[in-house]
Amino acid sequence: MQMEGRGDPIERLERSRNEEIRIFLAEAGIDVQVFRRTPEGEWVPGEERLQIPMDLLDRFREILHEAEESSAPGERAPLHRVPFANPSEEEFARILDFYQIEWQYEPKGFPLDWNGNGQVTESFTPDFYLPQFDLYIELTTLKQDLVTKKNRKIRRLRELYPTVNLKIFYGRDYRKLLERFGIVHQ
Amino acid sequence: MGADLSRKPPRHVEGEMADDLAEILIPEAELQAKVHELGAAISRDYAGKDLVLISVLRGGFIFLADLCRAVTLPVTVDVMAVSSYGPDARPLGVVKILKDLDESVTGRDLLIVEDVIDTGLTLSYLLRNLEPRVPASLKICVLLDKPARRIVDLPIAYRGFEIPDKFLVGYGLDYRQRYRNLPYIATLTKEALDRLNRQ
Repeated sequence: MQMEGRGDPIERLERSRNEEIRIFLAEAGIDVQVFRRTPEGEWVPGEERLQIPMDLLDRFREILHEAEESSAPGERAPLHRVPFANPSEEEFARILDFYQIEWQYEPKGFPLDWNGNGQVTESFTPDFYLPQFDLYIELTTLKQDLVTKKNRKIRRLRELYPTVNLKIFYGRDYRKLLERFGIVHQ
Repeated sequence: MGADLSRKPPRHVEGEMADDLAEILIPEAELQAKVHELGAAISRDYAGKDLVLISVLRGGFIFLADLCRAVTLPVTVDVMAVSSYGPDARPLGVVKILKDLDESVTGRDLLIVEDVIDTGLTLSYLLRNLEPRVPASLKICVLLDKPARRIVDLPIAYRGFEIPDKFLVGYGLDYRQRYRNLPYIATLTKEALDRLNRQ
């Protein structure tokens, strides 16, 4: 790893698979530099480099904070703007974000039953869709009577849409998943 | 509180650590037999290739150490470390590479050696991180497959054991950074889990 004698970066921000920004702590302040991956897989420093004197760091933090608050067009909304039905779903979204797995929240409802006029009378909308894996995920943290009703819907969905890839996380499984990450379930 | 070690008494484990164990799920002899079986399969499949075994710290280090000695080819060994999701990691936002590979892997045959796969999230990230480095091949070898909590399905080329959805310790697996040094895979008593959770 080429660090130009500056030691290890204190932060790496991945811009793409082959480009990242590395932040180094220097005596006079902070060095920010773009690094690119060569076809051989080596990371090399680019020409883009910014040196921020120590006395401007507070203003730099303000700018970063403002940038975080206003998401760019086309980007997914920040978590706090997604209307999650419960905290479990929001935590799950955080986990997916952490591992940089793209997700969509309730993007599609599947009709399960129709009346005589062809109108949908029952449908099922999985909580998450992971486009990279063509996978729907349903988190079931409800009471048992509601779980039974949901299970019936899931069976119906699998009958009507056998090619849809759906995974169910029941309450106990989900709590174990959170425990695995050291998170106490609320 | 004594342990109910139904399969085999603990070897060289004394005092508090022995009391913490509820059951030995996979004894040492079974683990070693499986590691040698995997090593033989890998040696056969990668004959004549430039094999790099890559393990993920910290859990994979014991499996890697045993597996690489069960492989009869002149392999290269390297390790990575990545951050895990958790209360402390949440503010950081995304997974980070804490220690990258020292080896250049372009054009080489990579085999990720993991102690356990459960959600598949970490391995999924590693695959996405390693693929752009253009290896000749990239496959996964896991000792323990815990499918109950799988979120991301990944192709596993070499699999040791399928295991139940329990907290397991030993042979590199930890609970709160302890018990990695047990030579077998075991479960903890409820009392031990409660005590450790209180600390």
